[in-house]
Amino acid sequence: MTEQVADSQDSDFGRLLGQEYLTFSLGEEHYAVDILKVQEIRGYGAVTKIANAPAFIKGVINLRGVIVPIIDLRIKFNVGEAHYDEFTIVIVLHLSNRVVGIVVDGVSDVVSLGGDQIKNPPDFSANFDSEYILGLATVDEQMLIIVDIEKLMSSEEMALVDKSRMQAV
Amino acid sequence: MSFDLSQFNQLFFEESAEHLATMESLMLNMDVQSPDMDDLNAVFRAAHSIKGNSGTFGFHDMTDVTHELETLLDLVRKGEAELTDEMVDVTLQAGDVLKGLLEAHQEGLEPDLEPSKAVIAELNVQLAKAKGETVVPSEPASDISDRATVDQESVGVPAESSQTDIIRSYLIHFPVTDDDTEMLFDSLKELGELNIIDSPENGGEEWFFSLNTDSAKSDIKELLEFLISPDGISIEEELNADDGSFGFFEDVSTTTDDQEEDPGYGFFDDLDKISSEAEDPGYGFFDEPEAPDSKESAEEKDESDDPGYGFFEDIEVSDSTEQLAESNSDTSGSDNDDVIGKALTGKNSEDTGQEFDGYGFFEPVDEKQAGGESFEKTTSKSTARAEVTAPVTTTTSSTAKQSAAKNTAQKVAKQPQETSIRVSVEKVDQLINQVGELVITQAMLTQMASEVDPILHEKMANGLAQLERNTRDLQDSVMSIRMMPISLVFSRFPRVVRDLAGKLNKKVKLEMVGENTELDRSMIEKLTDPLTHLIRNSLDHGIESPDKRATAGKDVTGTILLRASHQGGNIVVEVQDDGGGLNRERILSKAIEKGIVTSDSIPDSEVWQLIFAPGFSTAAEVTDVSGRGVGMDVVKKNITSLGGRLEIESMEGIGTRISIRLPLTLAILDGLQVALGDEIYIVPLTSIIGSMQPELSDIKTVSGEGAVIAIRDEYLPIIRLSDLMNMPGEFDDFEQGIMVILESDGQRVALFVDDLVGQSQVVIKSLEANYRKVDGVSGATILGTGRVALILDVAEIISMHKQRAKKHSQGMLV
Repeated sequence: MTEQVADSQDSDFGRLLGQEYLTFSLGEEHYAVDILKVQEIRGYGAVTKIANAPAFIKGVINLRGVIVPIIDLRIKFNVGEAHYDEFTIVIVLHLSNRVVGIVVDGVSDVVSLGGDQIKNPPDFSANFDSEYILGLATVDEQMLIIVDIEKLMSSEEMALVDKSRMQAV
Repeated sequence: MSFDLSQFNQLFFEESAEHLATMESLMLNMDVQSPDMDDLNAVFRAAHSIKGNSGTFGFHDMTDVTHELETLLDLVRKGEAELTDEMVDVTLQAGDVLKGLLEAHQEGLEPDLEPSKAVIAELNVQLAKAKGETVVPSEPASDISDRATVDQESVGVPAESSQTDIIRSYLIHFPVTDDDTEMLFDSLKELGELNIIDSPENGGEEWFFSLNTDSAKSDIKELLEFLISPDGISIEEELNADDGSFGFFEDVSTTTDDQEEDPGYGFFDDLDKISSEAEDPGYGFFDEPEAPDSKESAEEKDESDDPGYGFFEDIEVSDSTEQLAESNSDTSGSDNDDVIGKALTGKNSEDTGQEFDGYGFFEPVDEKQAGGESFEKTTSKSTARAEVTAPVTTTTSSTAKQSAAKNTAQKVAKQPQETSIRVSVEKVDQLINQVGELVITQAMLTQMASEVDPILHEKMANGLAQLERNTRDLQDSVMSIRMMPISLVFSRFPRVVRDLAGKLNKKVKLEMVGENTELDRSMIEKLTDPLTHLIRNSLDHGIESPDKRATAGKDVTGTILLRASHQGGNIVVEVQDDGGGLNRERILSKAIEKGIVTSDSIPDSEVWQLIFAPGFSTAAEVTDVSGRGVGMDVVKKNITSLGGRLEIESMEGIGTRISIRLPLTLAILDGLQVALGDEIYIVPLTSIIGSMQPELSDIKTVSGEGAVIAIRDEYLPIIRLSDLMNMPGEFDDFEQGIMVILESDGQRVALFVDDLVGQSQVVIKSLEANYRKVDGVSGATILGTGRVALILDVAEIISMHKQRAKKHSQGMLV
């Protein structure tokens, strides 16, 4: 696994060099996603529940005429407290073939990270597979978990994609 | 039985123009030594598309050219021939000719076929070369022009004729007949070139046409008498039939349309003909260089590179002959000279291949002048011009006058106008989405405004009212972009009916009403198959044989009526026949035999619905006797998937009418909003039978578990929406909520919801675009409040319920 990441880092060296990330917090943990995948940040509200969906899928919202599913990463990763008020924040991600909103505890900053600042993640047991972690970085003495959000969101465990469609992808 | 395709012509013009442009740019960039296979294929495809489309739309002159072009390109494409510069040239020429024809058609004029014949000849030369054969004269061109002239009907279309035989021109009259004239014309076409001057279809009282042939008069007479009743046939030999000595003129004179007015004055007549011929785009003279001797091809190439050349051709092709006359400036004159010189060479090259020495040119022009009354109209404008060009330009300018007088409107439209633009569906959908957003925003504003004092904020209220009107108008306009007339589907049926009637030996006429009714384009595509099926069924099983009809005292010719109309927010398409009607007893006994129904006291309307039952219709006995055949269940399925409903009315011996009721568009659905807890769900109105507040006494339990409700002697299973959606409802008690009776595929259930909110039209949005399929839900929509509501899929809900029930009972057994 680590090898694979290393490989992809080599080939994506240029991509990682001085790339910008949006950081957000989930409970006490800090995460970062490629800022180019972020479409917008908005408040949480008017979510329509969907029948028989896992608990972390809060439902769908109307985002200017587009139906967008909302995932609460706090529930999914079991961090922080899942409560909803006017300060609850949704990061709307524009992934390669879909638009998805994620609920997080707070959006912190935009940071620029060079390839050498990102360390390969060690193997550890977490609520989600380290497969979805591109690496770890330290900014202002805080550890940032850089997430491959594209891969995570199209994974089977997110239950966002039909199996048949996943195979097609 | 004829119908009008012309409304789609614009589409064809645009598409063809695009294909032509593609072809040209690819051809120009083609590396002759090592042509790119993809490019060649693309050129071939473009030619093929034009050929197919022009054939469909009846522009056979274009089909003919593209056919030859396609043959040539095919050889190259398959690697059977090397691409040569000449081929590229001729392809480009063919493209120009096609452009000319296209623009002529677009202007509603009869195109000049000379250049196309020339280019066909040239294509054949190249084809022959490509095949390694010797150059052959333009034999195929003549039979192609035969076809073209017949299609053009009654228009003076010049035609190639073989120079060797003596061609006589006959004028043939015969009265309207019931006999098969089509066969007759086919046979006549084999003899020679047929030109219909007047036909009953055009409102004439008799058939009147001219025939150019080398056959003897007696042969024609024999043929005619063999095929139709000999009474009233008259065949006259035309006095001015060409004798081969006129060279240039003969072609023109033989097929002109008003010969019959003045058959004796071949000479003057000719001139008129020339004028009227030139009155088509008038570029007959100019475009001829497209058929040069191969010697000239190098020079030819230069010419096609010359921007001035393209310019002139365009003008002429677009029928603005007037413009041509105006453009006789000195600078352009030299170009014209050049072109004309070649034009004539091209013409002469056909029979003699002689080089341009002016002979071919001056001869005919002098003759023209000698006989030409119309030359008195000669404008002084061109007198200062070089001798060579003067006569020709005067001809065109005088014809310009004629055509201008004939149709003043065309004077205004000098250039072909773009009357529509092609936009990708994506962009339209985006627009529709954005307008949908606007409507929602507007609804939100209205809602907010309702909370303030209307008297204090009167101006705002007025403004909002205006905003509402404007947004509605905007929404209507935007929605109409996707709308297409239903004639897109209807237009294919005359052919279907005709072919099938012939096959079944039935006499059927198809009437169509309301072809201009518009509905969503995507729906039109999906409507084609079910409608075809219904019509075939009506023909096959509904309409009786002529004998039977006669015995029953009906008109021998059956009628199928296809009608489309708006009714409320729906489109209703009806297929009606005056055939035998459905046979109630037959259907019932079959249904009872199959165990679909048990009682024979059900009303007619339900009996008719039985023919849609799966597997039912495959029974041959039923189809033989009463009608409606295989695959009615598929028809029903297709219509249901469009959100539509099928209704049948039938009366034995009188006929049957099947009505398809469809929503206006696939993007909008008529739905009932039902509440469950905090959420609102949309139930498609098409699957709702009714709703009611249940009385406890109506609700029974089966083995203490599954509940049913008694409605009109029927026990319907109750589905709780809250169970299905796994959401808490407001009420648990049946008495407090509402039962919505749903039907899908003939199965009825009662859906228990908290409340009915109201009926509304909703815009369907895809859930799957960003999420995935949700069981029991067909899509989502956005309510006036901006919230998302899920649209229930009734068929799926019923099958989900069945599965749950099954699981439940299995669980109980364990």
